[in-house]
Amino acid sequence: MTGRCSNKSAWKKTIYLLLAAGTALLIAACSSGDTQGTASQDSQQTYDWAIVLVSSKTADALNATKDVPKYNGDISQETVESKPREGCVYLLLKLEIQKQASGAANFEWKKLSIQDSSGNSYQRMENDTFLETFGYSRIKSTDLTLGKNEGFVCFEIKKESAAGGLELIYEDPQGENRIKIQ
Amino acid sequence: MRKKAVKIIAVVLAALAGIAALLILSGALVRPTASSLEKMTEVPRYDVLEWQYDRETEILADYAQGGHTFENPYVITDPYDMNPCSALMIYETASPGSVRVTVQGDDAYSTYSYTVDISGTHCEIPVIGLYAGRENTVLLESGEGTTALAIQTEPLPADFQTIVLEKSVPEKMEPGITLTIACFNDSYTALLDSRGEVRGFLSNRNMAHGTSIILLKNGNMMATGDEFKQIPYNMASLWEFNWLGKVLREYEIPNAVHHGISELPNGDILAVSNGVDIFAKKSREDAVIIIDRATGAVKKEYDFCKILDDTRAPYSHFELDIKNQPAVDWMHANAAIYDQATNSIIVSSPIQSQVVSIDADTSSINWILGPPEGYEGNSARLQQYLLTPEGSGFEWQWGQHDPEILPDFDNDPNTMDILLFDNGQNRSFYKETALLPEDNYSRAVQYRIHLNEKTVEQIWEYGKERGVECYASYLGDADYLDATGNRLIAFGGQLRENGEPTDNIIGGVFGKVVTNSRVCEVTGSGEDVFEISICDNAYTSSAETYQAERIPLFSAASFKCKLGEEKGERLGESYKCAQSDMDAPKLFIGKLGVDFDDLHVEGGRLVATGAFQYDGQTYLLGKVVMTFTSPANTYVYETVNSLNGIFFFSLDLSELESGTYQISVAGGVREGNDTQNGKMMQGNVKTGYKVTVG
Repeated sequence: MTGRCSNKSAWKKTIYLLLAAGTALLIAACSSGDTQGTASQDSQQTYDWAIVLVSSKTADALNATKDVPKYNGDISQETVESKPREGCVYLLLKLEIQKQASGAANFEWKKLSIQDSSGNSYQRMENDTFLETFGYSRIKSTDLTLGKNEGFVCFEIKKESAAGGLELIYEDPQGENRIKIQ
Repeated sequence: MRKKAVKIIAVVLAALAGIAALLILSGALVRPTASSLEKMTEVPRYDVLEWQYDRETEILADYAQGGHTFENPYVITDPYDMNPCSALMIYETASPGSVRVTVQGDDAYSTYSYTVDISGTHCEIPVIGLYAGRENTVLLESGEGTTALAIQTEPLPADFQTIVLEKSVPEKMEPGITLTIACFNDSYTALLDSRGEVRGFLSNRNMAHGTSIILLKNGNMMATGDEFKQIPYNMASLWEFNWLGKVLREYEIPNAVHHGISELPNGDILAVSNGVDIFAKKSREDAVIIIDRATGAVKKEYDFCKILDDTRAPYSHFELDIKNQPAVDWMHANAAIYDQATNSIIVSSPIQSQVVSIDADTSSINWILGPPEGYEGNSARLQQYLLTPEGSGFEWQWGQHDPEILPDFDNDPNTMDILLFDNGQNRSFYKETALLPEDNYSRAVQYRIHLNEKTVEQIWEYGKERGVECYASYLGDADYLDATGNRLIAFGGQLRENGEPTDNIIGGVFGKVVTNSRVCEVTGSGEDVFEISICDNAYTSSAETYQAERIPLFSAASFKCKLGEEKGERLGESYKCAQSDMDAPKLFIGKLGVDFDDLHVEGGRLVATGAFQYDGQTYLLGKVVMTFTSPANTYVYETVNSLNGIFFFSLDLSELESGTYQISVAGGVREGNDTQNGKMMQGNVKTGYKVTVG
């Protein structure tokens, strides 16, 4: 009996496995592609310009490999690299900067800075257009006049500053807006 | 027992196979459910005309809060996100009149001044010609006094082509600003001053490339829009715009346009084009069309397959190295101009090294300017139209660009002077006698055609003496400048591999070979009064110049329309992809993926540019269809197929029943260089996008 039972059980298991595998195959065949995450955003009503720090990252260098395809499928690759000055890293911030009321003063980049825990202060790089080459859509560097502005901006900061305790500071007409950079 | 078990397994497997077969046959495996549709991303809606109008409304709302005056105007740089070297000033005034705007330059010749007439109390002042990446000084002068403003602009993009000023004698130059037109969408169309400094550029690189940009009689500019129908520059629309970037009118062109546009005396547009379906026609870039300016409709089409000989096969470097090409580029028409004196259309074919004059009404050939080799067999009937050279120093043009009818210098109605850019590619009809690129040269050349005698003489040339330094296998332009009599010449496509000249045009198109360029302005006596070299850098290998023009910086008529007064107008009819007779795939299979470069809904139309890839790599495209599946309906549509897995798509959404549709792409790519016999790797892939209709 035990033998029979165990045999039955084995066959059942096999059948279940087959069914499960079949179902999994069907599900896999019907399943769609990638999922995308969204970042949470806080609303900031008290400032002329609401600033949301969507993400941040530091990089010793930025690299991009451009695939140059041939029509037979061959691909030759060209690499472009951008490095910060010696002893520095790039700090890339993805920001959403939105004007809160019509007629308010422009958003001025000279009023935006990064401060580390030792009091070192950094301004946005004067020319960070290279970000686009590396796939980071950037916010333009002229004063912002209107609407919602989304994208990356780049700071060149000392390596030791990148260790932690960084804050993004904007001297808003309504008061200083400080955002901790995690 | 075992037998029984085997039977059970067999039954279960058979049942499974049956269920699977039923599922496959019913199409249930690709049919979305309400919950699966929920997870997909809706195709974004974007319409440049709507966006610009909304932007104007937003600017006006912001401006309204400020109480701006002549002394304290509202300033917004690059108001339409099109030209980062532009700005718009707005203020209210009690004393209408004219305002003199001066953009301070580095010297008197690079300082630009123009006048804006103000008819009411609300003033909108366009500021054009700012330097990039600088704090510019702009002066406003009016009855209210003088206001000096500092306007900061964006730096040039890192991948902007490098511009080196080689020579500038501004007092001998034609007035105006130099417009350099990109050929491909990875370099920039720009405005350059007499010092070679950038004073404007189009940040939207999909627009205004690979086709002439013209100043219309109404003061507006016209260039191609930003929707592709085929690589690398067949564009589905023309935009009438101003240098602030406002699109005033969009003309949708189902045939697509490329290379050349010109304005006819009645305002209609003459354009180099294709048959509407270049794959059904089996050839491309061999049509000329007339676009009705009032309606945008294509009102006349000249098919050069019927006028010339599409089997004539000179040795050229334009052809792709692929077998069984779906659409042969035998002509590569690159210019069409109208001659009112003779009611003729003059068309340039660089592959055939022919400049052809046809009667605008009957399409009959008047004459052919070009070397006489290769007119046997089917081409023999064309021999009678060939012009006979006369005079000393005569040389034929090869692979030419941009013929232009010159003023009547000899006061003889029986002659026609033509200036063109002679690229010189091969300088032979035959491969065996072709000139190597390192021995070759390009030049601007002026011919005088004796219309009655059917003869031609060479009057003037520039460039041959500079040898390979100025050799440009492809692209280029030569313009006569009316005020000075100078010539502006673009040595447009200087292909260089490891610094050495090459004729590898296809490598240049795909970015495997560096393309540099050189723009010169020379006097009638050949004195070089302006020269810039445009070079690759670490961020770009594309530094070509399709054409160069000298234009006035400011055209008051182009800025008559105030913010919020008028939304850009859309005319004509876009190309639309047809339903396919292919059955919709029943399974998602294969290692295929799709990468969209553009996917949006514009009005009632879904527009896409994508690349179909196999295992992450691009290949020669076999065929691609787009499938739209809702729980109730399925539609399969053809796309416009191209190279490297690239396809283009335009669908009138009103053809679909109301509902939400999952978008998938099916088809196959081919290994190797044979469009028919290469190994096909096919499949069907969900894009993750949906579109809602109704």
